[in-house]
Order: sequence, then structure tokens, then C-alpha cells
Amino acid sequence: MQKLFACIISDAGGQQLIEIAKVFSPRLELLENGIVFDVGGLDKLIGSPQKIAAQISEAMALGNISGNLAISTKIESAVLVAENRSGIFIVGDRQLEELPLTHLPLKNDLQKIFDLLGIKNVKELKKIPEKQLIARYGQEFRTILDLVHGKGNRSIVQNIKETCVSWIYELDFAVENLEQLTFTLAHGLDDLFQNLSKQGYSTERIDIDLKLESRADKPYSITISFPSTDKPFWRKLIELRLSEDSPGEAITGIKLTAYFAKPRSAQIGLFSAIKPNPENLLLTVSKIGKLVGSENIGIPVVLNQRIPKPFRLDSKKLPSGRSSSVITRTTIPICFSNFEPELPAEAIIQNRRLIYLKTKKFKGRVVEYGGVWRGTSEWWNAAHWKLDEWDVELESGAVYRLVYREGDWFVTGVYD
Amino acid sequence: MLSLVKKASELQHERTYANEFIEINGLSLLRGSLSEFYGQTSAGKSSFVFSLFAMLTNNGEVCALVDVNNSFDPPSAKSGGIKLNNLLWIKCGGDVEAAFTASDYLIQARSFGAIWINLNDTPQNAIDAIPTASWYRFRNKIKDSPTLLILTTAGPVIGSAKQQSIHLSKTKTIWTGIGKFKLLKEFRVNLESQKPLLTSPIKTLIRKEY
Repeated sequence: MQKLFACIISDAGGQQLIEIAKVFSPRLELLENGIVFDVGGLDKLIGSPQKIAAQISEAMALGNISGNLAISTKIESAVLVAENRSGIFIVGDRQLEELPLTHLPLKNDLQKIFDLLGIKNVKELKKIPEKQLIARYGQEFRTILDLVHGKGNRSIVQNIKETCVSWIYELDFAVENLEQLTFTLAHGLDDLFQNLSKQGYSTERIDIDLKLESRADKPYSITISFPSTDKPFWRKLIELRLSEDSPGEAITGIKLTAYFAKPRSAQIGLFSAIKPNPENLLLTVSKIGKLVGSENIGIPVVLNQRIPKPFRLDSKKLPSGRSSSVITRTTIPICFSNFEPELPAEAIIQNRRLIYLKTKKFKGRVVEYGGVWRGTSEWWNAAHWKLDEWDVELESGAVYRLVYREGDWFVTGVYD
Repeated sequence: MLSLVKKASELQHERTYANEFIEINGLSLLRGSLSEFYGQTSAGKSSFVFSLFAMLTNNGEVCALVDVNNSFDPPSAKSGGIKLNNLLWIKCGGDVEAAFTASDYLIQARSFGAIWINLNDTPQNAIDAIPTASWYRFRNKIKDSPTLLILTTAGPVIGSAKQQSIHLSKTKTIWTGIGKFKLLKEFRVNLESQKPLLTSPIKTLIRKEY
């Protein structure tokens, strides 16, 4: 396969040039004033370098980009010609020979010497024996000679760091029912993930931009905590997200954008601990979240605070499935369960002893009790709290936690 | 040649759990089965499940709690040894129907170590409204999966759909200290397997940790 490079030198923005270059090649290098990209191998697809140049120039015209284009077997030659000559060129000896010496990267004193000697362009420079030039101007001059003889050995330095890939689709007819989009979405995700895998990436975030009939945009963003390119999984997530917050209008276009993330490296052992795979877990959590409210599903977190209920539910996190040192207990610890809401109670005290407890759910004579446990904190602000607690055993055998707070009795939970 | 070797994920999927038991405090609980723990208030049902969850979550298994009445107390679970990062907590706010649909989704996922439907303190009329067919459906869905489906209630509710049924009864509450200064120390509990029927109950201690 013949090496072939195209160089566009233009005042257009880098992004515009990248978009044009990407149509022809994934290997591209952004220059200060243009772009150079690999068009080797396109001869089978498009044809001769002239045809390739014609297609690139057509793409430039479509994108309203004006500039110089040069195609050469060497990057250095393509860049040199495109930087110094306006128009479209397939670089050969003639194009290089016509270049004035002022366009070569020569030092000022050298330029003056060649000027005094009457050497005006590359063609005249090439007439002087190479050995004599190197003897006079040193080995550094070899790079200039390589340049004028088209002998460069530079390769593309891919300096464009992309962060995402996109897929855009304009619908022929406006669609109101989201279910009708299922196949279109599946097709879009297919395309998106193919592009991702070509570049060796996975994704943790997909943005969905719906174009509505009223020409407004409805954006959605789905971020997960692990990289995945599992199409059915993403499709279900998108469907769940759209059904939770429907656009409320007919849809005329879709744009999907997947952001790059390093692919997941997972080691699954036959005898590894039993846990759902992340995709399965997230889908299950999303489905249940839709049912009970997303704020009611997550992992429990114990807070390091002095408050009556020092815990919360973290709905942003999912169970990790990491093991720790196995605990070996000979006895089972007593578990406490809360009453939500806590039960207002009536406590009867005789001779400074609790003798009877009554709530709307249970009542009974107090057989034994332990306490009082006094708790108070945040006396410095409005969230101030103060309570007295007892562990109370009733004649039924049940052991409850009784609380006295601001003149009222409550049963807050049970030991079970 | 590698194509001839099955992936570990496929082998895991094909693995059967028909005869795998979890040994806990003298009881053997079968994976892929529906088990019921019942007993009166303070009989130690939740403590027993906490103990089971502590073992599984520390082993790296992900367990789920369908908390029908929002009664779960994470500090108590933490002190009971449960690794909270491996526990999925679902608060149902008293909605038994939502709890059952959520349980259905969890069972469909087929890869939780254990799922606990906590029906403690659920009104009897709500429990009576649960169709028996639901339990049979759960039983069928859970088989051949590694998941242990556990239910805790005051009385037996599953009927003949259950594969294991444990009745817990507290024989004594032990307090330490003298006079007014008492501390709850432990519950003495009998575990009786009603299905399969075992001849003698297992006596166990459930201890309060300070």
C-alpha cells in the first residue's frame, strides 16, 4: 500500500478541519494552521490521488472551508507545499522545485548567502552537489536537502484527544409514542458502540438529545458507575429514563452522545462470591426505584454524628460486592428494629417505677426495664434534641425501646 | 482453540445450587429455596437474619432487604457484623404490594446471595391479602438460583409453598445488674424447624452488644 498524506492549510477552526479529515481517515494530526491526515489506502476506495484530492476539496467546499490542499507521499512535502502555495496540489518534483528558497526553513544568514549567489528556488538549489552543501553548511543542512528531495520520514502524531462519539438521526415523521423509537435507539446504540470499540473505549455516560416538534430540545443524561457497552442494558436504561420524564411532545430527531471511558477489566471466577453483574444490578435498582421512588433504594450508611437516628439511605450508590475478613461469632447479636413512625405511648409510673405501657398496637405490664439512657446534643441551635430512653420488657416477652421526649412518651422500636 | 473452552461467566450461569447449603447457627439453609422465620415479637427473627446476612455480606455476596415497614436500623446491622456496602436496602413505606413487586424484580436478577422480605409488624389484614399463588411463583422463580429467599413474620404465612420453615420462640430474657440499674443481656431462643420437621429444637443465645 502506497503511503499518502493530505494536508489542508486553512484559517478555519480546528474542529471544522477535524470533521472533514475524519471523513477520510481516523489518523490525523492537527497543525497550528491546518491539519494533516493519512489518506493511504484510499486508492482502492476512491482512486488516484487526483480523485482523492477532488473529494477532499468537495468536502471542504461543502463545509465552507477555503484553504490550500496538498497530497504527497511524505508529510513534510505535503505540509511544505500546502503552507506555501495556494490551490490544490498533488506534490511531485515539479511542485517542490518551483518553491522559492524563502519558503524553506533556512536561517537568515543562509538565506542571504543563497540570495547573493543568485539561487532563488529549490530547482536551482538541487543543481548544487549535496556533498558540497553539507561540507559547507554542516550535517544540519541534510534535513533541508531531504525536504527538497522529498525524502522525509516523519509520521502522523495523533494529537487530537476526543472525548466522545455521537450519533444523529432525523426522523421522517414526528413520533409521539416512545415505544416506536425502540428500534431507532437500538440502531443508534449499535452504531455508537461500534465507534467506541473501534477506538478501544467503553462508556459510563450517554447523553440523549431529543429534537421536539416545537423545535425545542429535550436533553437527558445517564451516568452509571461502571463502563459498559452492553446494548440491551443501555437501551433499557434509556427507555426507563424517558418513561420517567417523558418529553411530552412528538419527537423529530435524536442525538446520542457516548463519552469515552476505559473498558472494564473484569475477572470472573467460577467460585467467586454470588453477586449480580453491575448491569443487571443497575437495571433492577432502576426498575425498583421507579416503583418505590429512587430515594428509597440504595445502600445504608451509618453517620458519624450525634443525632437520634444516625443513619441514612444512600441512593446514589450500589452494593459493591467486596468481601472482607470473615467474622466468626459464637452468638447472635440482638437486632433492633425501628417503628416508622414511632408510636405515641402512655406509660404508668408508680413509686418512680415503670409499671404499665400502652400504645395503639400493644399494651402490657412492664416486667423489667433498663435505663435511663440520656441523650442530648445540638443545644447550640434550633435542631436541639434531648431524650431519655429505656429498654422495656412487657409481660408478653417483647422488649421495646421507650423514649421520653418533650413531655411525651414514644415507643421507637423493638428488639427482635 | 479457546472457543472450545466455555467462559467462566457461562459456567457460573450453568452452575446449579440444588444441593448447596448455608450453615448458620446449627441450621442448614438451602440455596434457591423459600424459607420462613416466624415467631412473636422479640423472638429473635431479625437477629437471626442479621447473623445470616453478616456471614454472606462479609463473604462478598450482595444481599437485598425488602423493608416493608421502613424498620431497618443500620447502626444495629453494623454492630451485628453486616457489611453495609454489600446490602441493597429497599424502603417500601408500608406498601406490601410494592414490596412484592420489588421482590419479584430482585428474584428475576437471580444473583443476590439472599433476599429478605421483612414483614414484621405488618398488619394481619395486609398479610392475609397476599395471594398464595405469589409464594408459589417466588418458589418456582428462585429454584436453581443461588438466592436464598427469606421471609420474617409473626406467624406462618407461606403455607405449603415454603421449603423451609423455622419457628423461633423466646424462652427467657436475661437482664444483668441490680436494682434500678439493669442492662438487657440476652434472649434465650428455641429454633424449631417445622419443615423439614426436626425432632428437637436448637437452643441458641441472642446477645445484646454494648
